[in-house]
Amino acid sequence: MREQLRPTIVLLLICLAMTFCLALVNGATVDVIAARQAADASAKRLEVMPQADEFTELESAEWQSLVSDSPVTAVYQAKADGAAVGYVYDVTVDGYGGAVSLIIAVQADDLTLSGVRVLSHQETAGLGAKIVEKDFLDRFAGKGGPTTVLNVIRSGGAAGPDSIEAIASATISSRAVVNAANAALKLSEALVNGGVTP
Amino acid sequence: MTLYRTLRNGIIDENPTLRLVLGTCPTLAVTTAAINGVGMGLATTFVLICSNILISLLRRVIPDKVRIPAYVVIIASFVTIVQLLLEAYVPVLHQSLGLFIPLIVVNCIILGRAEAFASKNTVLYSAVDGLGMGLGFTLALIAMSSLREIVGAGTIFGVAIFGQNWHPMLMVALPPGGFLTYGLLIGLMNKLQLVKVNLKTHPAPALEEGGAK
Repeated sequence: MREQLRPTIVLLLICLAMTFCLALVNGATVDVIAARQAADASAKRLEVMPQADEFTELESAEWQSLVSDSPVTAVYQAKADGAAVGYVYDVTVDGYGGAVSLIIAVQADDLTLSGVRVLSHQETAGLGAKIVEKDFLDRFAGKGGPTTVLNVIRSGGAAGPDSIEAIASATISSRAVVNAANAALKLSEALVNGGVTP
Repeated sequence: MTLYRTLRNGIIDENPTLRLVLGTCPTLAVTTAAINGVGMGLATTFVLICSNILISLLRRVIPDKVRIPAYVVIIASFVTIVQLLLEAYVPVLHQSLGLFIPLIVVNCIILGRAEAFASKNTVLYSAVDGLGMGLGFTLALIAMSSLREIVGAGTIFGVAIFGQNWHPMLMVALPPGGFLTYGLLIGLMNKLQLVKVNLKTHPAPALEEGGAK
């Protein structure tokens, strides 16, 4: 009996002690982590909608009924001096290597894209991972407009007004970003038509 | 064994990555950029030193029957601590290492050193062994990730070192290149070790009398 009890008690004590240490570290870092994540997200929102000074999140009930199967996960109204200037969306789409999370901003007046940023992704290093680069994301600025659906063309292909040139050898990753942008454009139009003024 | 020998053992003679071929999963996965190699190496070193010290302290307390679960609890706790600290204070590194931080728990280098060294040696020696093994792992990761970043992306620590016309050999940054680079480095290390052993056991032969054969 004794030789079974001792290992059990020692292991239990080790687990308790380590759990206590973990609780201490977690208590010390939880606020720092939450503050940093919030600051990171709001800094990215400001990057895509630089003229805004305030972002308020819409209740999901206000917009989820307007579109079905939307990859949009959150909608923010962007305001400058109290006047609405646009929408900022959190969007998660499927890329080549897994989920791609983006922040996409749409201007309220002409429904064009104001900016696109990647929050997280698992695309192939050196190929699909180039979707985070400014060179690619800048291709979206000013595109869109009412009823516009953006399309993807191969790298080096003939560009139309509503086409986005894909990154060479990373068409699937590029298409994921374009799909996210289209979802944001579609929802913006629905929001404006649905009377939810920004 | 002296402290210096213990330290050297981890870095060169029994380098965990290049001689013992332990911890290959993180080695292959994170070495696409030099900064990842440094981050992963240092995070592992921290966990290795802490777990070696604690396990050495408790080596007479932990019963033989439950030693492996006890080690795993201790290692997993330190890894979680590292993860929380990185996420709070070095978020950039936390984002690029991401999934691989929790994987330190199952890095066989750490469990291996706990079982083979820390459970049989004093605290000071265990700490030095952790430092040596950690540095050996870090240096191997830096060597491999620098090579892969320079050849595969044309940059080092994110700074471009070649001109505009340099076309990086992308394959080296992708998984196949990881295996190739790893194999070449292990081969190089074996070759160097072989030269050393040969010099010790077969010193350069004295010239035979009478000259050429």
